[in-house]
Amino acid sequence: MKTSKKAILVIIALIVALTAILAACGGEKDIAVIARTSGSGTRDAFESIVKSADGTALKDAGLMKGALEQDKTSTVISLVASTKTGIGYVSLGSVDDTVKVLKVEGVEATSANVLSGDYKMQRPFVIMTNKALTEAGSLTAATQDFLKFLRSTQAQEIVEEEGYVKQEEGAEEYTAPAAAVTGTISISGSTSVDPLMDKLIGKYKEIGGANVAGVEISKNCQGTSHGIAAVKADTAGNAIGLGSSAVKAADEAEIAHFEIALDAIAIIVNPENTLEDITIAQLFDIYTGKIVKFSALASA
Amino acid sequence: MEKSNIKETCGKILFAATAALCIAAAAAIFVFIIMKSVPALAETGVGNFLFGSKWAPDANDVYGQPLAGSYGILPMLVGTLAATVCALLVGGTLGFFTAVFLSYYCRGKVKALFTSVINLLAGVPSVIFGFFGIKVVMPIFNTLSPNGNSSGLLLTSVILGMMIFPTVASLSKTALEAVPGAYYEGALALGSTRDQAVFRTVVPAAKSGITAAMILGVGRALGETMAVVMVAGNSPQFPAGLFSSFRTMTANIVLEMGYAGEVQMGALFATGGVLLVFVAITVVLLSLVTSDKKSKGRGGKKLNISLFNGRRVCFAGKIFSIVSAAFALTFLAALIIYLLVMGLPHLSGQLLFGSYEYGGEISILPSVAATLMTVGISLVIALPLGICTAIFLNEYAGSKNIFVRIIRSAIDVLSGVPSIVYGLFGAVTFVTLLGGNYSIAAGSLTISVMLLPTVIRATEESLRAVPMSLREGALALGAGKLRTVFTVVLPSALPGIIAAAILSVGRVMSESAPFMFTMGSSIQPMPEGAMSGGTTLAVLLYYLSGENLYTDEAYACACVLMLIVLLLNVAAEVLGRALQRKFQGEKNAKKKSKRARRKALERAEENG
Repeated sequence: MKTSKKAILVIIALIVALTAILAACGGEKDIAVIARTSGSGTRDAFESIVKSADGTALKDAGLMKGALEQDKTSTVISLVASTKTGIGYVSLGSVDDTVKVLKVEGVEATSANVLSGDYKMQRPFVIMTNKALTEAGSLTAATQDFLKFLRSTQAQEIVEEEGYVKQEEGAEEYTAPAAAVTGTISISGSTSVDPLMDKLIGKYKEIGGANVAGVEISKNCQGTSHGIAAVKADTAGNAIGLGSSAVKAADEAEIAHFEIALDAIAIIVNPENTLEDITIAQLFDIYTGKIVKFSALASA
Repeated sequence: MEKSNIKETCGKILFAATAALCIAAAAAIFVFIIMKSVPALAETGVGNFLFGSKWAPDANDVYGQPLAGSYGILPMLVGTLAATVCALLVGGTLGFFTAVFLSYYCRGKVKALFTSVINLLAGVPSVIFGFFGIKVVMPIFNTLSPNGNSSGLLLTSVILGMMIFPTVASLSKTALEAVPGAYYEGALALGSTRDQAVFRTVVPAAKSGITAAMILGVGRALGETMAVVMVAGNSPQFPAGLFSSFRTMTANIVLEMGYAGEVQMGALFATGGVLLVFVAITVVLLSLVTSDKKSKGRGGKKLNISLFNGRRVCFAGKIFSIVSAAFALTFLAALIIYLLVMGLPHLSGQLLFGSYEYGGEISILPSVAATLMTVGISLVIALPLGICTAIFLNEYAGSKNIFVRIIRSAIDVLSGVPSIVYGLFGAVTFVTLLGGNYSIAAGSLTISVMLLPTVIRATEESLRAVPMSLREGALALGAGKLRTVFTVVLPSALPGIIAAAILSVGRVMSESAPFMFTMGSSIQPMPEGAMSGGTTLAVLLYYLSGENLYTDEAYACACVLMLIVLLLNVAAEVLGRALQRKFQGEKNAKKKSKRARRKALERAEENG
């Protein structure tokens, strides 16, 4: 008798739990807000650009509680691809066809729109070196030669080939050094710039030929701040940092830098989402948790 | 007489020294992590750090100035606890029942199949589990979740549970099989049903081994980083339900380390420190539990698992065992099919064997080389150390010795230390020691320390399974202790030791967290030697999948990784069976072939 009573109780409990779950499933689900972790160059850029109607930056307002935070571009894309109500932001170069890119303020995310400045969600890729060493001219010959290449028209061609927006100003043609250059260069910093840097190093070795064959380049990218720290700590004159957001005013005193490319930050949603266009103020409301359903966006 | 005495003493000292090394390793980890975290704790205040519920670091914070960010890890602490407990509920239960199924409800080909399935699962890198979680499991759970996305406790528990499942299952199986057959037969003779004999007699007898398996499982769950990062959601808030996003302490470290400012970095080390303390507490609790049992001797205390009393309950246990095993098989099949479908079409000659140049086509050859080097170096270091320690613990040391208890605790600590903390440790010790650059040597040293507990535990378990009569026989025939160990005990325990080696190789192949801060994580050309940087396959996989540019290559890489693990398993299976035939076929160890004996003797000479 006792066991059957228990069994009945368990079954009732299960039914209650199931109905509760099913009830919760009904209706429109909340927006799954997907962000990058703090310190990511992409997040830094995103939160500086996204402002409320009265001009408060998302950075100051703070990300909503309960937003999903990811350390990698790919997981942001995967999450959006597998969540019907997901929204996220990634570098435009990384977007694939599993997600849909939204227009921001009615402007499509294209190279032309980034360059003209019409597409607001953009950030620079920067190359950083130690300021004191750079100004004293005590960077190693190998580092200087590589930097010269990074500023060249050939480097800009690679930038464009890889789907980023090139910087127009001041590029000159790079020619291989007259005499052989040797030495090591240690590159660290933004994971977003890493794939581009990979191609750039390849091109550098190709153009430089035998005279740069003795230049050993080691590259380890773990994030913009990592690169900043490495450059600041540089004493040998061979550290190059990669950044995926503008250099902060506080770092200007210690870091020499130039922009190598512009990158658009794409706002991505699930392909099943009917939304096509979003405003920056709406993004602010979503990322601060004021808007929790996509339907509220359509009616507003 | 004199000479052999010296030999014996030397042997004993050598074994004790390797065991002492374990203590040193555990102590070093604590010292270095705490050293790095003290400044941050001083800055934020221990109370605020531990019990603050807001984690909002500011990368610009430096020591000696007012803090702009807040550093409270309580939400992560709770998150880690919740995830570990839930994962153990899933993986521990599944693992235990599958082990029972393997040991008592199947035989022959089915058993061989399941055993290799479990070994294979153990070798699957965390990154793959994470990806599988996002791509396959998450969409299913999304339909249940009220907020559209199911990142959170439930998903994490399931993924994490499946990750600790092979550890728990294979070690529980070893423990169950070490129970003398007479127990089972005796229970049957006394009128138990088969199910009762299994659940009321054999299982309680294997309790210590099963507990050890569970602890290793907890260690893995606590320390798991890469998969958790993908499925937990990572908001630094308290887990508020099965579907609410939360962050674990390990995730906290890996998420923010790359970007961390000065104080933040210290706070992350301190997070690692808290994890360590956490590990230490469980170890102390555990040693209290086990020492209580030890003093009463094996079988001295009657164990009452009232849950498994009735005949019907035991039968239900049998059914559940079968269901668990079937579930594990289905899960693995889904995982493998998914990987093959996504990866195989992208396997190309260039990817496999092409040489990699910066900016050129991706090739995994440099990573394969780096992985093999890492596996080689770490095995050369960890296997002898681990085996010698296990010999010391099982053959030489009495269990009441305080030294032995410290060693055991040190091993428990080492096994509980999260892989990401090993990464931090390797970064501040081996990397600095080897000249400050990321290198394969630094990564291998780091992973060697990490492998020690795995090797020791598995070796010890198999040494324990060697019947006492074999040792007594050898001693009675006049063999010294050292000789007994090397010619009689070790050969009999060889299959277990090989299992330990395979577990280790699997671990090296599938870990990524300890290598990220010690070997480097970018794609790199062919390593030139142990001192150059490298990327193991698992790290490469993490890197390739990182920016979503090489997803296809990542799946192909995952396929290769799985294939290697599969090959390893087959090789080990073949080797293990050959050895088993050689040694266990003969009831008497003295009858061993001359060659094997000479070999063993030579080894004894070397070590003595």
